[in-house]
Amino acid sequence: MKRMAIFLTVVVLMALMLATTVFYQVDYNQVALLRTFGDTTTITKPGPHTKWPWPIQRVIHYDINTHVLEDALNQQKLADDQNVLLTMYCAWRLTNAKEFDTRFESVQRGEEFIRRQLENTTGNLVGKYKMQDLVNTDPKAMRLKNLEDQIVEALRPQLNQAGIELVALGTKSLGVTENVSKAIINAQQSERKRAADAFNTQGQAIAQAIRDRARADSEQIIAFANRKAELIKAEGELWVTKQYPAFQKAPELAMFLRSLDSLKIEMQRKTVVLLDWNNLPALKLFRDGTNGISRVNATTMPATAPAAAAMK
Amino acid sequence: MIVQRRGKNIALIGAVLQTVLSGVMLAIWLATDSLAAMACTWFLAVGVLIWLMAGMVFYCRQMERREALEGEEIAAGSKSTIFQREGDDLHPAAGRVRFIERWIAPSFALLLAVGQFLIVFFMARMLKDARVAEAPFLMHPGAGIIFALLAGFAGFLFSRYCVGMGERSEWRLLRATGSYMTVNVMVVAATVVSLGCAYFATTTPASAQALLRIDLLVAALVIVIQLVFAIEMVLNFVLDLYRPRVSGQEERFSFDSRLYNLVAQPGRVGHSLAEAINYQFGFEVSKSWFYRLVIRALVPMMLFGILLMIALSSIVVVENGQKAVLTHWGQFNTIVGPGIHVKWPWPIDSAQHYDADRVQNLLLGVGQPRKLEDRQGAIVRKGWVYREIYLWKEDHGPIEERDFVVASPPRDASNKAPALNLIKLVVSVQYSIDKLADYVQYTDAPKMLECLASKEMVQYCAAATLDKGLAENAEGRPEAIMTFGRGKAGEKLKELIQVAVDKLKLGVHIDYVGLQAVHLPKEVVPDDEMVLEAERRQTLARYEAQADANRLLAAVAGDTATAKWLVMSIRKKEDLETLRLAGEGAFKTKMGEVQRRVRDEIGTLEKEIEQDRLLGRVGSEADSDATADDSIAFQKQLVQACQDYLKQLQALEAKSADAAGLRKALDDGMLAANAEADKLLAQALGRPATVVAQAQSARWTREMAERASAEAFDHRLQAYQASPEVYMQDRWLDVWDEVLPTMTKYVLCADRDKVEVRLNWEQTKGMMSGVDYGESKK
Repeated sequence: MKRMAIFLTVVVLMALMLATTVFYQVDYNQVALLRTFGDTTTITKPGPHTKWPWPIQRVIHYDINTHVLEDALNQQKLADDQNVLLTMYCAWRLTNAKEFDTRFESVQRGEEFIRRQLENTTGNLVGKYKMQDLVNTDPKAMRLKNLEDQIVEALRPQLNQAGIELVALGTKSLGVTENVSKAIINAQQSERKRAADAFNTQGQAIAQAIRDRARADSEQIIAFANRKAELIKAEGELWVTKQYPAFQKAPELAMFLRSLDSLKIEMQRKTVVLLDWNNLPALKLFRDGTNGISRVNATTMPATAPAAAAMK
Repeated sequence: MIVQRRGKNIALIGAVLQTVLSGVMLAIWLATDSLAAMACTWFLAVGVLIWLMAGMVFYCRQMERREALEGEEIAAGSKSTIFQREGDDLHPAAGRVRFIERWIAPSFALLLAVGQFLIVFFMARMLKDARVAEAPFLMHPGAGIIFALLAGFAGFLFSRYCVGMGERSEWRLLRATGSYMTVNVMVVAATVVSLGCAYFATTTPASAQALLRIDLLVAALVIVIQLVFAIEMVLNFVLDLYRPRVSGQEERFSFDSRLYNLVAQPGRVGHSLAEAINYQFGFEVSKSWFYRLVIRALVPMMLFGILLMIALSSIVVVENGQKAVLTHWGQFNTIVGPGIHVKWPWPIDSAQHYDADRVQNLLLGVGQPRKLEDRQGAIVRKGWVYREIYLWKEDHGPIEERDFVVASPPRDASNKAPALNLIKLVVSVQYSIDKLADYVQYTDAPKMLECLASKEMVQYCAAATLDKGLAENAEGRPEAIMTFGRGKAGEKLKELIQVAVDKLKLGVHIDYVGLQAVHLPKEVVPDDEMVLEAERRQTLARYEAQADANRLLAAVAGDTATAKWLVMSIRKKEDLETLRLAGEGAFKTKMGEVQRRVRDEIGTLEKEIEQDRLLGRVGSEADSDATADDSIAFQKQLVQACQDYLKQLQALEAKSADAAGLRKALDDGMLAANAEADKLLAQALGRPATVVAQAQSARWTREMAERASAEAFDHRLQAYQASPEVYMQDRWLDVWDEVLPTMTKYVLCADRDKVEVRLNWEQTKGMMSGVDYGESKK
């Protein structure tokens, strides 16, 4: 009983091993190449299939889905002597597995071929463009899409021959080299410093203008007020002249009274007076006593100005 | 007795060593901030109590043994006494041992379990807080590793020694403590691994997150081990209550962990299991019929397992948010949604799962993961939590942001080629699988989407402006992607990416595209901040100047608003006066000058309004009481007044053909402006008001004085006519009488020609003479 069990186990295991060499399966997203002593048949129908065991027949599977391939970051020289770092991508799929297998034997080698072709074609074409064609403030002046179209046009026939269909191609990234990026950053720094200086200068100018404007406004108001004040005073003087006819009855008296008024005002300031007892009647009393009063002569008295020497 | 004394000594040495190990781990915890070290410290500290408990048991047993020997000696000397006693009264040490085994040791185990539960609870809370940290890092991990290794090695040697001693039944208790220390050493080793990760693998953000996980993981592991130990002690305590007591059977304490014994002596797993089962049940379970039945049924059970696996491969469980593609013999069969589905077993049917309904995220414009050391400037710590602040002038975030080239207008007017600027632009694309049948046609659909989206980003954003708006006719060019145009640019980019994706039938729906980060390179940021600072300074200078201007205007009119209105009226009056005085030929020229000046004023005011608007000082339009200080509504009123005046000037210009009409209009305007100015001046406070008031006062004083003189003159004339000389002398002396009393006077008591008057004209120096007013510098 125990020996039977061991025998059965061995048989089952061998049957399973044989099945793996006789049966194979093609998935819906695959194509299989059945190779019989070097003769290759393409099997596209998904499902289970049978074959002779190895080494009579063997099966190679290829994925027929769309693959995506990304190029390395390549430095390219442009028509205006500028450098640019470009990364291109392309989407591809197998259209002729037999041809592909004959040429490359594996997807990895096939992708290597596509990558080389992509690099070469891009290098050949990008040199005809200037930096402003790739990056521009005007979207209409950007010709990046033209470049991609040209690469597709040049690449497609070469890939078709190898059983590959080019599905899509585009620019994944666009940059500049480290040294150039440093230079750009320096320029950006300078630009901002300049902007900061402009703000500072402009600020001072604006502030000065505001102060000047306010000063001009205030001076204008003061001038207007002064003008107004002068006008008021002039009106007053005009009114005063209307009083003059009253003084015409005795102009000498009017003038004498006006002189006294003036004298009174002038004498109110810091004044040192030398009083000559010859002139001031009250002082003559010092010199002459009461006898001198009779000798007062009206002619000795100035009519319009004091005889004393007044100094300010 | 010697055996027990040796056991006691070993236990005490163990307690000392355990204390040292705990101290070392405490120092490592404090030095490195490692959570694993923290958990390890607590775990080790508990061991000290276990060693002390073991030492106490050994001591009591030593005493018991001594007592027994003494008893034997006494028994050998006299066969019986009248004071013969039995039980614990005669053997207190033995009774003490029994008491410890029966009460103290289980109570100790229970208390130890409670303590462990508390430690586990508090450490779990700390771990919960630490879990939110984004980028932790450990300090001085190298030193921590060295000390932990040294301590761990010492602990390992001692634990193996104790476990070896524990093989003998007399020292069985050392197996419990040795096993505990062995597990301690393993935990220390795990902490060393965590510190090692911190030391060697902190160069990338991915490893930083991994470090977080490892440190947290080790800490959590230690907590779990402690928890298991505590639960086991409680279980041991409970089971010990119901365990059948067999006379002469070796006592096993509740704190002697069976699990730790397994870990400490893995080679004796089977033996330990059988021993544990047999010990617990009190008989040889491994020789029972059930055990033998299980051994016989092993092969059929394995076959059953294989059949079960085949059956399970016939069931497909699709999680929520997923879809599965079912293939039958490799052919595309169907797509099934969430739920349980039946299929043929493998290899007939296969299922491939996709996150079809889940929103997935894709980042564009990013490079390699950023090293943790490069992000130190952006990381701040608050308690146990580390946070990263995303400042532009520091490298921040887990992934490096790549440079993106953006065109800007030529710096040099002679050069037509645009200048280049570099920015950091990261775009987030969120998508979900729309048509799975199309999606699976690509070997790497996410990468295809990344390429397509990157292409659109490069083409669309290269022409963008950073913070300035664009004219309306600048079609197709994104504007202000750093500021207000960010959302719009994201929407447009989403539209473009969706078109590209649909064109290639990628089966993806773009849910959202957003400009996640748009900023200048960190080298430019300080200069850019300098611009902002200068802009603020400009605003400050403007405000200071406005404050000065307000003070100046308030000094001449009482308040700024009155001053401005007054100036406007004065200027209007003067303008009209100038126009009136200008001849027919000069009228147009003068009119042009006036209108230009008014337009300039409007422009200046509007510019100030715009600046205030940008600074958020928006005043209410309806604010009729607006003042110049706090509302731009006042400036708008001024603008309106200027515009009205401009219209008035234009109307006058239109009348230039009609000379008489023009003159009349000018006169009317002038009078109105003058009246307005007079009215405002009358309302105004300040210096001009004082000047006018003083003028009015002087006028009235003068008028009154003259009127009084005129009215008094008739009377004075009569007096004069009565005696002209006396009257004049009298008045003249009156003046001297009035002024002389208050003045310095010298009386010349000699003839005038005998007096020589010398005057010193030298002026005495005033208080402020000699002060330099700065004129000397000029």
